[in-house]
Amino acid sequence: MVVETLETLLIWTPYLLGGFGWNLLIALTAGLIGLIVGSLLATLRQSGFKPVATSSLGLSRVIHNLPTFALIFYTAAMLPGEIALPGTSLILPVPPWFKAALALSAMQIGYTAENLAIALGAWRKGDQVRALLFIPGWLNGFLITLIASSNASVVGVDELVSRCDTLINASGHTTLMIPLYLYASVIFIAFCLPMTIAMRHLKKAMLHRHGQLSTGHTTALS
Amino acid sequence: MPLILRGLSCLTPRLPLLPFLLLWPLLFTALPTPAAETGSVLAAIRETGILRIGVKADFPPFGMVNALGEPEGFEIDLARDVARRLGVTPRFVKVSTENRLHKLEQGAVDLVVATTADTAERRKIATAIEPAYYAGGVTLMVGPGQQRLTDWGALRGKRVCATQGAYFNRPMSERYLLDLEVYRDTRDALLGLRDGRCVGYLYTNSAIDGFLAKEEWAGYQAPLPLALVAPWAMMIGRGEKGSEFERLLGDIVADWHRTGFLIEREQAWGIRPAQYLRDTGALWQARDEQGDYLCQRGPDGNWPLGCREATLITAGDVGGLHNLGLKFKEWTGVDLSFLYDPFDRARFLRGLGVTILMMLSCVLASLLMGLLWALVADSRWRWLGMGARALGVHARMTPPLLQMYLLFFGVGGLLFARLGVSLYPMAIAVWCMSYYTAGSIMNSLYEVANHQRQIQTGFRLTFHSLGMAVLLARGPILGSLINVMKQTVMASAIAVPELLSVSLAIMADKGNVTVMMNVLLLTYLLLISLAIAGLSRVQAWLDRRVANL
Repeated sequence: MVVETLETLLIWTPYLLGGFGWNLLIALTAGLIGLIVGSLLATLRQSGFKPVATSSLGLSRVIHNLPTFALIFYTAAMLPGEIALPGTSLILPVPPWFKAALALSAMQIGYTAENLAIALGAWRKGDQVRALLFIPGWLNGFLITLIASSNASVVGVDELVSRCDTLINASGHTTLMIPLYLYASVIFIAFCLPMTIAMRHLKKAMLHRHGQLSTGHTTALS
Repeated sequence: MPLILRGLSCLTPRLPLLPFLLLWPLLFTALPTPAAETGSVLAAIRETGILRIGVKADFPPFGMVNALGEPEGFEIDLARDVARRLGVTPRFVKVSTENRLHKLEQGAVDLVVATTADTAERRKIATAIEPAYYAGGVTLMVGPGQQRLTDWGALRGKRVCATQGAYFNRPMSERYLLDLEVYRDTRDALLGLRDGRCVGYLYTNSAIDGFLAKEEWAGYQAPLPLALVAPWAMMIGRGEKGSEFERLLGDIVADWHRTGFLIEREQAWGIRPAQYLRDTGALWQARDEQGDYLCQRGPDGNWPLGCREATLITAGDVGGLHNLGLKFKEWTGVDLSFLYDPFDRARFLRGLGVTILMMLSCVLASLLMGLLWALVADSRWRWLGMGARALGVHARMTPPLLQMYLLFFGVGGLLFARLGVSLYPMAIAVWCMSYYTAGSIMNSLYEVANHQRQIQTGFRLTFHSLGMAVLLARGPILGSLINVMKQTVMASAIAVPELLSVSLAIMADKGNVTVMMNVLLLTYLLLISLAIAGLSRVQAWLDRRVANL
């Protein structure tokens, strides 16, 4: 019974990992959208024209405070399946995974908008290390987005959790359910744990150098 | 004392959010709403040579997926025949009960053949093709212990499993005062029934016939009489009313009734013979003295009255405020049914209440669990501490959705099968989200303790020193608490009737997707902003305590 279950898991591992590939793609896309839109908002915030600066701050807070799970439904229901590029005959498809990535980018937009301005300020003052601390923070956000990307399954994206459900339904009996869900969490941990450890070392090394560079200055970090 | 602090800047909103809330409608109603021009769908189909058809995958033998992953079933055969007659290639899109009509409105499919009952409400948001190709009623699938049930009235106040978006959910729960537990899809609802979360599963008899035929459901029955029988119609977009597309499709269905194609396919799929197909077939085959069909389109393009569905099911009566709401809708196109319709208003308020209750429970449970966990993680016993921290890795790196599925469907199923105990969905949701959040809180406290050890050798988290550690880790902890409040939305995935869940139900009934989606996000934004305002007071208070240290 146990051997049989392990065998089933092994057979379906490539299929499940393929699903996890979608999770990675969604989280990466969300991170990139977050970088682009977040930097735009951070730049606007530095604007000398006060209304622009205030509205970009307000907008980034509003985006940051929205629950991403609800946003996933929002983008899935509200955005069209394809967009005709104006002036051309090109029709750009907007696949469901991209809509989910757009929804998940809310958190990364918030992070980038809040922290990029601080990082840029530090850079200008010559405090490069402190500016570069933006990177581990972004990576941490990437991991949180990756974990949240499983929520895309509720709008039919064919990622890891969806594929687990497909396998459970296809097998016709529910005994596979507990092993499969546990296996899926093992896949998430197997990816996120080494990343977290590597990030912690990176941060420590950066802070160590930082300690040598600036004197007696404590930084904001968790 | 050197302090490592991380002030959460997002906790201290120095600017009023109200102006942005007022700007909201401008921002989001300006998004492209892909309502195609009237009657343009057929031209697009002919141009591309592709007919996109929304079908079901979880409704054997009407719409299902075979071992190769291809759609097949009674309705798939009908859809293929439509494509063949139009001379185009069919492309199948999987739709659910909840989203099939949005997909039409969105322009993601051209035609829906997905067990859609033709009701008066649905005709307001889509165009039903007449005549219908099948009919189904609603029945209740019950487990071995409930076979003596003979009367719908006996179900008053009982918990009944249902599927999001079914037309009969509302009239049945109004008529018989059922307490519906609404699941996202058929699979989840069936698991709910199996795990003893409800007395029965309220669904279309055609689907329940299919389930009962399976060995998996041996001992289950459908003892109640059929209720709310409604014709099933192919659906096309709202803007296609009166188009050539509608007329062509109507002629095709009429031909199916005349040639016996529907009864032939019904037999081919082993479906229990429906009286509806016999009666309707006879009606459409009948001829007058000249040998012409009785059911022929009149000069206005409509079928004669005797050939059309006499009555369609409607939900709800129209009163004062209701009338005002409908007038407003006619005038502006904005359907605020969650305000004017008493049934929608009640369920929306209930969803709001459930969401607030869940937010408060999650905050309290996460905090309590996180603090206790941190004490164990930093305990004197090394192995115990390591175990607690390893569990923390599991908590923080497993998606909460996965944790909920595991407990709700996996462990919940086992518990019921072995012990006859059934777990309460809301409790499971609160537990899973608090577990995830408590993992982060524990981690923040443990890191503070680690840092403190560098300054003060032998430092350990105890009941006594925990207070100071909480002060030092207040930024990340408050951040985690805000996150868990946002996460409560996920509970909708396991049939907790919170805000998202009720909004989806209202959208499925009324088709007011844009309105409900914006109302939903606005409500959340208000709730979260209120929570942040409250927590930033807590943070200010903690800041003062730290300053006094």
